[in-house]
Amino acid sequence: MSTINAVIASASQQFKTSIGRPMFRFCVIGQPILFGLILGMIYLEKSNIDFTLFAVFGSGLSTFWSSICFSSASDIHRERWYGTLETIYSAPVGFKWIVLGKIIGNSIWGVFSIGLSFSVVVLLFQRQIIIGNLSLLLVGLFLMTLSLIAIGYLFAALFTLSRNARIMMNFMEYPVYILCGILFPLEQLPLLIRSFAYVLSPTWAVKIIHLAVSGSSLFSAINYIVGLVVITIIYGVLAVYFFEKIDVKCRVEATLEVY
Amino acid sequence: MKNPIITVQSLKRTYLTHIGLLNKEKKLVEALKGIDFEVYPGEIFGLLGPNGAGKTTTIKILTTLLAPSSGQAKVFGFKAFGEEKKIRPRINFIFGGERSLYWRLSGLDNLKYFADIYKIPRKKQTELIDDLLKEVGLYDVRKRKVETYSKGMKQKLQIARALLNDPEIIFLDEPSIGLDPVAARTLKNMIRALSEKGKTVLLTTHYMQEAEELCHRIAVINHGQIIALDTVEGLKNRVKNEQNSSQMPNLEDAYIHLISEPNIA
Ligand SMILES: Nc1ncnc2c1ncn2[C@@H]1O[C@H](COP(=O)(O)OP(=O)(O)O)[C@@H](O)[C@H]1O
Ligand SMILES: [Mg+2]
Repeated sequence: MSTINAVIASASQQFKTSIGRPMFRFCVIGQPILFGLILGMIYLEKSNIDFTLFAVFGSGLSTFWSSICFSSASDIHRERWYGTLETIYSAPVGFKWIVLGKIIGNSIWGVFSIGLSFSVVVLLFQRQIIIGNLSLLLVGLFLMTLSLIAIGYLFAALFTLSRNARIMMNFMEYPVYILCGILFPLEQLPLLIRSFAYVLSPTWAVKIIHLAVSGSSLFSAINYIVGLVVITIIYGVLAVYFFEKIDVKCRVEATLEVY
Repeated sequence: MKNPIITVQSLKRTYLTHIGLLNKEKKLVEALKGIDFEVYPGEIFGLLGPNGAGKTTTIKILTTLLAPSSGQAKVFGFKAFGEEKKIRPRINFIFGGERSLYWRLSGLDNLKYFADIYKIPRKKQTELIDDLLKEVGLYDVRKRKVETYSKGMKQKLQIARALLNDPEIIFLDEPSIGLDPVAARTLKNMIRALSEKGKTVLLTTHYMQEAEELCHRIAVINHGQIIALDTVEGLKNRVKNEQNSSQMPNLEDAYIHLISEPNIA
Protein backbone atom coordinates (compact mmCIF):
# COMPACT_ATOMS: atom_id res chain seq x y z
CA MET A 1 0.00 0.00 0.00
CA SER A 2 2.67 2.48 1.02
CA THR A 3 4.65 1.50 -2.07
CA ILE A 4 1.73 2.52 -4.27
CA ASN A 5 1.46 5.77 -2.31
CA ALA A 6 5.08 6.47 -3.01
CA VAL A 7 4.69 5.77 -6.74
CA ILE A 8 1.70 8.10 -6.86
CA ALA A 9 3.53 10.75 -4.84
CA SER A 10 6.49 10.55 -7.15
CA ALA A 11 4.25 10.70 -10.25
CA SER A 12 2.30 13.70 -9.04
CA GLN A 13 5.42 15.51 -7.88
CA GLN A 14 6.90 14.94 -11.31
CA PHE A 15 3.71 15.99 -13.05
CA LYS A 16 3.53 19.22 -11.07
CA THR A 17 7.17 20.25 -11.25
CA SER A 18 8.26 19.13 -14.70
CA ILE A 19 5.97 21.55 -16.48
CA GLY A 20 7.66 24.40 -14.63
CA ARG A 21 10.81 23.76 -16.63
CA PRO A 22 11.03 25.69 -19.92
CA MET A 23 12.63 22.82 -21.80
CA PHE A 24 9.94 20.36 -20.82
CA ARG A 25 7.24 22.91 -21.55
CA PHE A 26 8.60 23.25 -25.05
CA CYS A 27 8.63 19.49 -25.32
CA VAL A 28 4.97 19.00 -24.44
CA ILE A 29 3.46 22.26 -25.74
CA GLY A 30 5.77 23.86 -28.33
CA GLN A 31 6.87 20.74 -30.09
CA PRO A 32 3.41 19.22 -30.68
CA ILE A 33 2.24 22.49 -32.17
CA LEU A 34 5.32 22.88 -34.39
CA PHE A 35 5.41 19.25 -35.43
CA GLY A 36 1.68 19.38 -36.11
CA LEU A 37 2.17 22.39 -38.37
CA ILE A 38 5.13 20.97 -40.24
CA LEU A 39 3.66 17.53 -40.74
CA GLY A 40 0.30 19.03 -41.62
CA MET A 41 1.93 21.00 -44.43
CA ILE A 42 3.96 18.05 -45.64
CA TYR A 43 0.95 15.74 -45.81
CA LEU A 44 -1.53 18.38 -46.97
CA GLU A 45 -1.72 17.06 -50.52
CA LYS A 46 -1.85 13.42 -49.49
CA SER A 47 -4.88 11.19 -48.92
CA ASN A 48 -7.05 11.58 -45.85
CA ILE A 49 -5.69 8.36 -44.45
CA ASP A 50 -2.05 9.39 -44.88
CA PHE A 51 -2.86 12.79 -43.44
CA THR A 52 -4.47 11.20 -40.40
CA LEU A 53 -1.67 8.70 -39.95
CA PHE A 54 1.36 10.91 -40.30
CA ALA A 55 0.22 14.45 -39.69
CA VAL A 56 -2.26 13.84 -36.88
CA PHE A 57 -0.80 10.83 -35.12
CA GLY A 58 2.78 11.25 -36.35
CA SER A 59 3.12 14.60 -34.65
CA GLY A 60 1.56 13.31 -31.44
CA LEU A 61 3.61 10.14 -31.24
CA SER A 62 6.86 11.85 -32.05
CA THR A 63 6.39 14.43 -29.33
CA PHE A 64 5.41 11.75 -26.85
CA TRP A 65 8.60 9.94 -27.74
CA SER A 66 10.67 13.12 -27.36
CA SER A 67 9.30 13.85 -23.94
CA ILE A 68 10.04 10.30 -22.79
CA CYS A 69 13.57 10.44 -24.16
CA PHE A 70 14.22 13.86 -22.84
CA SER A 71 12.79 13.42 -19.41
CA SER A 72 13.99 9.97 -18.48
CA ALA A 73 17.54 11.12 -19.03
CA SER A 74 17.39 14.57 -17.57
CA ASP A 75 15.27 13.67 -14.55
CA ILE A 76 17.90 11.41 -13.09
CA HIS A 77 20.57 13.90 -13.98
CA ARG A 78 18.67 16.70 -12.33
CA GLU A 79 18.29 14.74 -9.11
CA ARG A 80 22.03 14.21 -9.18
CA TRP A 81 22.55 17.96 -9.38
CA TYR A 82 19.99 18.75 -6.71
CA GLY A 83 21.77 16.30 -4.45
CA THR A 84 18.49 14.43 -4.02
CA LEU A 85 19.56 11.39 -6.01
CA GLU A 86 21.22 9.85 -2.96
CA THR A 87 18.14 10.45 -0.86
CA ILE A 88 15.71 8.88 -3.30
CA TYR A 89 18.16 6.17 -4.21
CA SER A 90 18.38 4.91 -0.65
CA ALA A 91 14.79 5.62 0.36
CA PRO A 92 13.17 2.61 2.01
CA VAL A 93 10.46 2.36 -0.64
CA GLY A 94 13.04 1.47 -3.28
CA PHE A 95 14.56 3.62 -5.97
CA LYS A 96 12.93 1.73 -8.82
CA TRP A 97 9.45 2.64 -7.62
CA ILE A 98 10.30 6.30 -7.34
CA VAL A 99 11.66 6.32 -10.87
CA LEU A 100 8.60 4.50 -12.14
CA GLY A 101 6.47 7.26 -10.62
CA LYS A 102 8.52 9.87 -12.42
CA ILE A 103 8.11 8.19 -15.78
CA ILE A 104 4.37 7.87 -15.22
CA GLY A 105 4.18 11.54 -14.32
CA ASN A 106 5.93 12.45 -17.55
CA SER A 107 3.77 10.11 -19.58
CA ILE A 108 0.64 11.89 -18.47
CA TRP A 109 2.10 14.98 -20.12
CA GLY A 110 2.98 12.83 -23.12
CA VAL A 111 -0.66 11.83 -23.50
CA PHE A 112 -1.57 15.48 -23.19
CA SER A 113 0.83 16.38 -26.00
CA ILE A 114 -0.78 13.81 -28.28
CA GLY A 115 -4.13 15.44 -27.61
CA LEU A 116 -2.65 18.86 -28.26
CA SER A 117 -1.07 18.06 -31.60
CA PHE A 118 -4.24 16.23 -32.59
CA SER A 119 -6.32 19.36 -31.87
CA VAL A 120 -3.88 21.68 -33.59
CA VAL A 121 -3.80 19.68 -36.78
CA VAL A 122 -7.56 19.10 -36.84
CA LEU A 123 -8.42 22.74 -36.18
CA LEU A 124 -5.83 24.34 -38.44
CA PHE A 125 -6.07 22.16 -41.50
CA GLN A 126 -9.77 21.34 -41.39
CA ARG A 127 -9.11 18.01 -43.04
CA GLN A 128 -11.27 14.98 -42.69
CA ILE A 129 -9.77 12.77 -40.01
CA ILE A 130 -10.31 9.09 -40.52
CA ILE A 131 -10.66 6.73 -37.64
CA GLY A 132 -12.02 3.44 -38.89
CA ASN A 133 -12.01 1.58 -35.59
CA LEU A 134 -12.10 3.73 -32.51
CA SER A 135 -11.84 0.96 -29.96
CA LEU A 136 -8.76 -0.48 -31.66
CA LEU A 137 -7.27 2.99 -31.70
CA LEU A 138 -7.82 3.36 -27.98
CA VAL A 139 -6.27 -0.05 -27.37
CA GLY A 140 -3.29 0.96 -29.50
CA LEU A 141 -2.81 4.28 -27.73
CA PHE A 142 -3.14 2.68 -24.32
CA LEU A 143 -0.62 -0.05 -25.08
CA MET A 144 1.70 2.47 -26.64
CA THR A 145 1.63 4.55 -23.48
CA LEU A 146 2.46 1.49 -21.38
CA SER A 147 5.23 0.55 -23.70
CA LEU A 148 6.76 4.02 -23.72
CA ILE A 149 6.65 3.97 -19.93
CA ALA A 150 8.61 0.73 -20.11
CA ILE A 151 11.18 2.25 -22.46
CA GLY A 152 11.54 5.36 -20.34
CA TYR A 153 12.04 3.10 -17.36
CA LEU A 154 14.72 1.12 -19.12
CA PHE A 155 16.53 4.30 -20.10
CA ALA A 156 16.31 5.78 -16.64
CA ALA A 157 18.05 2.70 -15.28
CA LEU A 158 20.89 3.20 -17.73
CA PHE A 159 21.05 6.91 -16.98
CA THR A 160 21.59 6.26 -13.29
CA LEU A 161 24.74 4.42 -14.22
CA SER A 162 26.23 6.94 -16.53
CA ARG A 163 26.88 10.61 -16.16
CA ASN A 164 27.08 11.00 -19.93
CA ALA A 165 23.59 9.76 -20.57
CA ARG A 166 22.41 12.97 -22.20
CA ILE A 167 24.41 12.25 -25.29
CA MET A 168 22.84 8.85 -25.56
CA MET A 169 19.40 10.33 -25.15
CA ASN A 170 19.90 12.76 -28.02
CA PHE A 171 21.26 9.93 -30.04
CA MET A 172 18.08 7.89 -29.49
CA GLU A 173 15.52 10.56 -30.22
CA TYR A 174 15.69 10.86 -34.00
CA PRO A 175 16.44 7.25 -35.02
CA VAL A 176 13.14 6.21 -33.49
CA TYR A 177 11.21 8.74 -35.60
CA ILE A 178 12.81 7.18 -38.63
CA LEU A 179 12.87 3.54 -37.62
CA CYS A 180 9.40 3.11 -36.22
CA GLY A 181 7.24 4.41 -39.03
CA ILE A 182 6.08 7.42 -37.07
CA LEU A 183 6.65 10.08 -39.71
CA PHE A 184 6.54 8.02 -42.90
CA PRO A 185 5.65 4.43 -43.78
CA LEU A 186 8.08 1.81 -42.56
CA GLU A 187 7.92 0.15 -45.96
CA GLN A 188 10.11 2.93 -47.35
CA LEU A 189 13.04 1.61 -45.35
CA PRO A 190 15.44 -1.10 -46.57
CA LEU A 191 14.48 -4.57 -45.42
CA LEU A 192 17.47 -5.03 -43.11
CA ILE A 193 16.71 -1.88 -41.14
CA ARG A 194 13.03 -2.72 -41.11
CA SER A 195 13.68 -5.97 -39.27
CA PHE A 196 15.62 -4.05 -36.64
CA ALA A 197 12.62 -1.74 -36.23
CA TYR A 198 10.62 -4.60 -34.77
CA VAL A 199 12.83 -4.65 -31.70
CA LEU A 200 11.46 -1.21 -30.91
CA SER A 201 8.02 -1.17 -29.43
CA PRO A 202 6.83 2.10 -31.03
CA THR A 203 6.93 0.26 -34.38
CA TRP A 204 4.27 -2.16 -33.17
CA ALA A 205 2.16 0.58 -31.65
CA VAL A 206 2.29 2.55 -34.86
CA LYS A 207 1.13 -0.56 -36.76
CA ILE A 208 -1.87 -0.94 -34.49
CA ILE A 209 -2.76 2.71 -34.84
CA HIS A 210 -2.47 2.45 -38.62
CA LEU A 211 -4.77 -0.57 -38.67
CA ALA A 212 -7.23 1.27 -36.45
CA VAL A 213 -7.26 4.27 -38.75
CA SER A 214 -7.84 2.13 -41.80
CA GLY A 215 -10.75 0.41 -40.06
CA SER A 216 -9.37 -3.07 -39.45
CA SER A 217 -10.98 -5.25 -36.82
CA LEU A 218 -9.49 -5.82 -33.41
CA PHE A 219 -8.98 -9.42 -34.44
CA SER A 220 -6.87 -8.65 -37.47
CA ALA A 221 -4.55 -6.56 -35.33
CA ILE A 222 -4.13 -9.29 -32.75
CA ASN A 223 -0.61 -10.21 -33.90
CA TYR A 224 0.60 -6.70 -33.36
CA ILE A 225 -1.21 -6.40 -30.05
CA VAL A 226 0.40 -9.57 -28.76
CA GLY A 227 3.76 -8.48 -30.18
CA LEU A 228 3.54 -5.11 -28.46
CA VAL A 229 2.53 -6.64 -25.15
CA VAL A 230 5.36 -9.15 -25.33
CA ILE A 231 7.96 -6.50 -26.17
CA THR A 232 6.68 -4.23 -23.43
CA ILE A 233 6.97 -7.04 -20.92
CA ILE A 234 10.51 -7.75 -22.12
CA TYR A 235 11.42 -4.09 -21.66
CA GLY A 236 9.88 -4.10 -18.21
CA VAL A 237 11.76 -7.23 -17.15
CA LEU A 238 14.99 -5.84 -18.55
CA ALA A 239 14.45 -2.58 -16.70
CA VAL A 240 13.90 -4.36 -13.38
CA TYR A 241 16.99 -6.45 -14.07
CA PHE A 242 19.02 -3.31 -14.74
CA PHE A 243 17.74 -1.68 -11.58
CA GLU A 244 19.06 -4.65 -9.64
CA LYS A 245 22.38 -4.34 -11.45
CA ILE A 246 22.75 -0.62 -10.95
CA ASP A 247 22.03 -0.94 -7.27
CA VAL A 248 25.42 -2.61 -7.04
CA LYS A 249 27.19 -0.94 -9.91
CA CYS A 250 26.54 2.69 -9.09
CA ARG A 251 27.85 2.18 -5.59
CA VAL A 252 30.98 0.52 -6.84
CA GLU A 253 31.57 3.18 -9.47
CA ALA A 254 30.32 6.14 -7.42
CA THR A 255 27.95 7.57 -10.02
CA LEU A 256 25.24 8.85 -7.66
CA GLU A 257 26.97 12.11 -7.03
CA VAL A 258 28.31 15.00 -8.98
CA TYR A 259 32.03 14.85 -8.93
CA MET B 1 30.24 -1.55 27.64
CA LYS B 2 27.49 -1.48 25.07
CA ASN B 3 27.91 -3.12 21.70
CA PRO B 4 29.00 -0.75 18.95
CA ILE B 5 26.27 0.45 16.60
CA ILE B 6 28.80 1.15 13.84
CA THR B 7 31.88 -0.97 13.20
CA VAL B 8 34.49 -0.09 10.62
CA GLN B 9 37.42 -2.43 10.03
CA SER B 10 40.34 -2.06 7.61
CA LEU B 11 38.05 -0.07 5.37
CA LYS B 12 39.51 0.93 2.03
CA ARG B 13 38.03 2.80 -0.87
CA THR B 14 39.64 3.77 -4.14
CA TYR B 15 38.16 5.86 -6.92
CA LEU B 16 38.99 5.51 -10.56
CA THR B 17 39.16 8.87 -12.26
CA HIS B 18 39.73 9.80 -15.85
CA ILE B 19 41.88 12.75 -16.67
CA GLY B 20 42.28 14.44 -19.99
CA LEU B 21 39.61 14.74 -22.65
CA LEU B 22 40.83 12.64 -25.53
CA ASN B 23 43.62 10.43 -24.31
CA LYS B 24 41.65 9.33 -21.30
CA GLU B 25 44.23 8.48 -18.71
CA LYS B 26 43.06 6.49 -15.72
CA LYS B 27 44.15 7.44 -12.27
CA LEU B 28 43.49 5.59 -9.04
CA VAL B 29 42.77 7.74 -6.00
CA GLU B 30 43.08 6.03 -2.62
CA ALA B 31 40.49 7.89 -0.57
CA LEU B 32 40.54 5.50 2.43
CA LYS B 33 43.63 3.46 3.14
CA GLY B 34 42.25 1.08 5.73
CA ILE B 35 40.53 2.74 8.66
CA ASP B 36 39.13 1.27 11.87
CA PHE B 37 36.72 2.74 14.38
CA GLU B 38 33.59 1.99 16.35
CA VAL B 39 30.70 4.18 17.33
CA TYR B 40 28.50 3.42 20.32
CA PRO B 41 24.77 4.02 20.69
CA GLY B 42 23.88 7.54 21.78
CA GLU B 43 27.31 8.92 20.99
CA ILE B 44 28.07 12.08 19.06
CA PHE B 45 31.07 10.97 17.08
CA GLY B 46 33.11 13.51 15.15
CA LEU B 47 35.21 12.94 12.06
CA LEU B 48 37.68 15.75 11.63
CA GLY B 49 40.17 16.18 8.87
CA PRO B 50 41.28 18.49 6.07
CA ASN B 51 39.52 18.61 2.71
CA GLY B 52 40.04 15.42 0.77
CA ALA B 53 40.88 13.41 3.88
CA GLY B 54 38.14 10.86 3.24
CA LYS B 55 35.38 12.00 5.61
CA THR B 56 32.59 12.12 3.04
CA THR B 57 33.72 8.81 1.58
CA THR B 58 33.43 7.21 5.01
CA ILE B 59 29.94 8.60 5.53
CA LYS B 60 28.81 7.56 2.05
CA ILE B 61 29.90 4.00 2.72
CA LEU B 62 28.14 3.89 6.07
CA THR B 63 24.95 5.35 4.60
CA THR B 64 24.91 2.55 2.00
CA LEU B 65 25.55 4.94 -0.90
CA LEU B 66 28.99 3.70 -1.80
CA ALA B 67 30.63 0.31 -1.85
CA PRO B 68 33.85 -0.35 0.07
CA SER B 69 36.78 -1.48 -2.05
CA SER B 70 37.80 -3.79 0.78
CA GLY B 71 37.35 -4.15 4.51
CA GLN B 72 34.21 -4.03 6.63
CA ALA B 73 31.62 -1.38 7.32
CA LYS B 74 28.77 -2.51 9.52
CA VAL B 75 25.80 -0.61 10.84
CA PHE B 76 23.58 -2.31 13.45
CA GLY B 77 25.72 -5.36 12.72
CA PHE B 78 24.62 -5.42 9.07
CA LYS B 79 26.94 -4.94 6.12
CA ALA B 80 26.52 -1.50 4.60
CA PHE B 81 27.10 -3.07 1.23
CA GLY B 82 25.04 -6.23 0.85
CA GLU B 83 22.57 -5.87 3.70
CA GLU B 84 21.64 -2.27 3.01
CA LYS B 85 17.90 -2.93 3.04
CA LYS B 86 18.11 -3.69 6.75
CA ILE B 87 19.97 -0.45 7.42
CA ARG B 88 18.26 2.15 5.27
CA PRO B 89 14.93 2.47 7.12
CA ARG B 90 16.76 3.02 10.42
CA ILE B 91 19.23 5.75 9.45
CA ASN B 92 19.20 9.13 7.77
CA PHE B 93 21.78 11.58 6.51
CA ILE B 94 22.40 15.18 5.57
CA PHE B 95 25.14 16.10 3.18
CA GLY B 96 26.32 19.65 3.76
CA GLY B 97 24.87 22.87 2.55
CA GLU B 98 21.59 23.50 0.88
CA ARG B 99 21.27 20.65 -1.52
CA SER B 100 19.10 17.54 -1.25
CA LEU B 101 15.85 19.49 -1.33
CA TYR B 102 13.41 20.35 -4.10
CA TRP B 103 13.71 24.10 -4.34
CA ARG B 104 10.63 24.52 -6.48
CA LEU B 105 8.40 22.90 -3.91
CA SER B 106 7.29 24.33 -0.60
CA GLY B 107 8.90 23.13 2.59
CA LEU B 108 5.71 21.29 3.44
CA ASP B 109 5.51 19.57 0.04
CA ASN B 110 9.14 18.50 0.36
CA LEU B 111 8.42 16.79 3.64
CA LYS B 112 5.23 15.18 2.35
CA TYR B 113 7.09 13.76 -0.59
CA PHE B 114 9.94 12.42 1.50
CA ALA B 115 7.49 10.98 4.02
CA ASP B 116 5.87 9.02 1.20
CA ILE B 117 9.12 7.59 -0.07
CA TYR B 118 10.18 6.78 3.48
CA LYS B 119 6.97 4.72 3.64
CA ILE B 120 5.43 6.65 6.48
CA PRO B 121 1.72 5.88 6.58
CA ARG B 122 -0.42 8.77 5.34
CA LYS B 123 -2.43 8.74 8.55
CA LYS B 124 0.63 9.50 10.61
CA GLN B 125 2.12 12.02 8.20
CA THR B 126 0.14 15.18 8.89
CA GLU B 127 0.80 15.22 12.60
CA LEU B 128 4.40 14.11 12.24
CA ILE B 129 5.22 16.75 9.65
CA ASP B 130 3.52 19.53 11.60
CA ASP B 131 5.43 18.52 14.72
CA LEU B 132 8.75 18.47 12.90
CA LEU B 133 8.09 21.81 11.23
CA LYS B 134 7.37 23.33 14.62
CA GLU B 135 10.39 21.68 16.15
CA VAL B 136 12.77 23.18 13.60
CA GLY B 137 10.90 26.49 13.54
CA LEU B 138 9.64 26.46 9.97
CA TYR B 139 5.94 26.00 10.62
CA ASP B 140 5.03 29.58 9.68
CA VAL B 141 6.87 29.44 6.37
CA ARG B 142 5.95 25.88 5.48
CA LYS B 143 3.97 26.89 2.39
CA ARG B 144 6.72 29.03 0.92
CA LYS B 145 8.90 27.62 -1.80
CA VAL B 146 12.27 26.38 -0.61
CA GLU B 147 14.06 28.64 -3.08
CA THR B 148 12.89 31.61 -0.99
CA TYR B 149 14.39 30.15 2.20
CA SER B 150 17.67 31.34 3.70
CA LYS B 151 20.56 28.94 4.09
CA GLY B 152 19.72 28.39 7.72
CA MET B 153 16.08 27.66 6.90
CA LYS B 154 17.08 25.17 4.26
CA GLN B 155 19.34 23.47 6.72
CA LYS B 156 16.48 23.27 9.22
CA LEU B 157 14.26 21.74 6.59
CA GLN B 158 16.97 19.18 5.89
CA ILE B 159 16.97 18.29 9.55
CA ALA B 160 13.22 17.89 9.55
CA ARG B 161 13.55 15.64 6.52
CA ALA B 162 16.23 13.57 8.17
CA LEU B 163 14.05 13.07 11.24
CA LEU B 164 10.97 11.91 9.31
CA ASN B 165 11.75 8.24 9.64
CA ASP B 166 12.78 8.60 13.30
CA PRO B 167 16.28 7.29 12.56
CA GLU B 168 18.46 5.68 15.19
CA ILE B 169 21.62 7.06 13.60
CA ILE B 170 21.97 10.38 11.84
CA PHE B 171 24.94 11.12 9.64
CA LEU B 172 25.77 14.80 9.19
CA ASP B 173 28.43 15.78 6.68
CA GLU B 174 29.53 19.36 7.30
CA PRO B 175 26.07 20.39 8.50
CA SER B 176 27.12 23.84 9.67
CA ILE B 177 28.91 24.89 6.51
CA GLY B 178 27.94 28.42 5.53
CA LEU B 179 25.57 29.00 8.44
CA ASP B 180 25.59 32.28 10.33
CA PRO B 181 26.43 32.11 14.04
CA VAL B 182 22.82 32.13 15.16
CA ALA B 183 21.81 29.35 12.79
CA ALA B 184 24.94 27.40 13.71
CA ARG B 185 24.04 27.61 17.38
CA THR B 186 20.48 26.45 16.70
CA LEU B 187 21.92 23.52 14.79
CA LYS B 188 24.26 22.69 17.65
CA ASN B 189 21.37 22.67 20.09
CA MET B 190 19.38 20.41 17.81
CA ILE B 191 22.23 17.94 17.53
CA ARG B 192 22.63 17.89 21.27
CA ALA B 193 18.90 17.36 21.72
CA LEU B 194 19.02 14.41 19.32
CA SER B 195 21.77 12.80 21.31
CA GLU B 196 19.85 13.35 24.52
CA LYS B 197 16.96 11.49 22.95
CA GLY B 198 19.28 8.54 22.52
CA LYS B 199 20.08 8.98 18.85
CA THR B 200 23.57 8.32 17.58
CA VAL B 201 25.13 11.13 15.58
CA LEU B 202 28.14 10.86 13.30
CA LEU B 203 29.23 14.25 12.07
CA THR B 204 32.03 15.94 10.19
CA THR B 205 32.90 19.55 10.61
CA HIS B 206 35.69 22.04 10.05
CA TYR B 207 34.70 24.11 13.06
CA MET B 208 36.79 23.01 16.00
CA GLN B 209 34.74 24.81 18.57
CA GLU B 210 31.64 23.04 17.39
CA ALA B 211 33.41 19.69 17.56
CA GLU B 212 34.75 20.48 21.01
CA GLU B 213 31.33 21.41 22.36
CA LEU B 214 29.44 18.53 20.75
CA CYS B 215 31.50 15.44 20.25
CA HIS B 216 31.96 12.72 22.81
CA ARG B 217 34.75 11.23 20.76
CA ILE B 218 36.65 12.38 17.71
CA ALA B 219 38.55 10.60 14.99
CA VAL B 220 41.07 12.73 13.16
CA ILE B 221 41.51 11.55 9.62
CA ASN B 222 44.17 12.64 7.16
CA HIS B 223 45.07 11.27 3.74
CA GLY B 224 42.66 8.39 4.18
CA GLN B 225 44.02 7.27 7.54
CA ILE B 226 42.89 7.77 11.10
CA ILE B 227 45.76 9.45 12.89
CA ALA B 228 44.09 9.92 16.26
CA LEU B 229 40.92 8.73 17.96
CA ASP B 230 39.97 9.84 21.42
CA THR B 231 37.79 12.07 23.53
CA VAL B 232 38.39 15.80 23.23
CA GLU B 233 40.31 15.72 26.50
CA GLY B 234 42.30 12.72 25.37
CA LEU B 235 43.33 14.39 22.13
CA LYS B 236 44.38 17.55 23.95
CA ASN B 237 46.36 15.59 26.52
CA ARG B 238 48.17 13.63 23.87
CA VAL B 239 49.24 16.78 22.13
CA LYS B 240 50.18 18.42 25.39
CA ASN B 241 52.49 15.52 26.16
CA GLU B 242 53.91 15.40 22.66
CA GLN B 243 54.70 19.07 22.84
CA ASN B 244 56.06 18.83 26.38
CA SER B 245 54.01 21.87 27.11
CA SER B 246 52.73 22.93 30.49
CA GLN B 247 49.62 24.50 29.04
CA MET B 248 46.64 22.52 27.80
CA PRO B 249 46.13 23.30 24.08
CA ASN B 250 42.67 23.99 22.74
CA LEU B 251 41.18 21.53 20.24
CA GLU B 252 42.16 23.65 17.29
CA ASP B 253 45.82 23.73 18.31
CA ALA B 254 45.73 20.02 19.01
CA TYR B 255 44.12 19.30 15.65
CA ILE B 256 46.63 21.36 13.73
CA HIS B 257 49.48 19.68 15.58
CA LEU B 258 48.05 16.25 14.76
CA ILE B 259 47.49 16.76 11.06
CA SER B 260 50.89 18.34 10.56
CA GLU B 261 52.70 15.37 12.10
CA PRO B 262 54.70 13.42 9.53
CA ASN B 263 52.62 10.56 8.22
CA ILE B 264 53.26 7.46 10.30
CA ALA B 265 52.08 4.63 8.11
N1 LIG C 1 33.43 10.33 -6.90
C1 LIG C 1 34.76 10.49 -6.80
N2 LIG C 1 35.56 10.19 -7.84
C2 LIG C 1 36.88 10.33 -7.74
N3 LIG C 1 37.53 10.76 -6.66
C3 LIG C 1 36.81 11.07 -5.57
C4 LIG C 1 35.38 10.96 -5.59
N4 LIG C 1 34.92 11.34 -4.37
C5 LIG C 1 36.01 11.67 -3.65
N5 LIG C 1 37.15 11.52 -4.36
C6 LIG C 1 38.52 11.75 -3.87
O1 LIG C 1 38.71 10.99 -2.69
C7 LIG C 1 39.39 11.72 -1.71
C8 LIG C 1 38.56 11.82 -0.43
O2 LIG C 1 37.43 12.63 -0.69
P1 LIG C 1 36.29 12.91 0.37
O3 LIG C 1 35.91 11.65 1.03
O4 LIG C 1 35.23 13.68 -0.32
O5 LIG C 1 37.08 13.84 1.41
P2 LIG C 1 36.52 14.85 2.50
O6 LIG C 1 35.07 14.66 2.64
O7 LIG C 1 37.28 14.49 3.74
O8 LIG C 1 36.88 16.22 2.04
C9 LIG C 1 39.74 13.04 -2.33
O9 LIG C 1 41.05 12.95 -2.84
C10 LIG C 1 38.75 13.18 -3.44
O10 LIG C 1 39.31 13.94 -4.48
MG1 LIG D 1 33.58 16.05 2.39
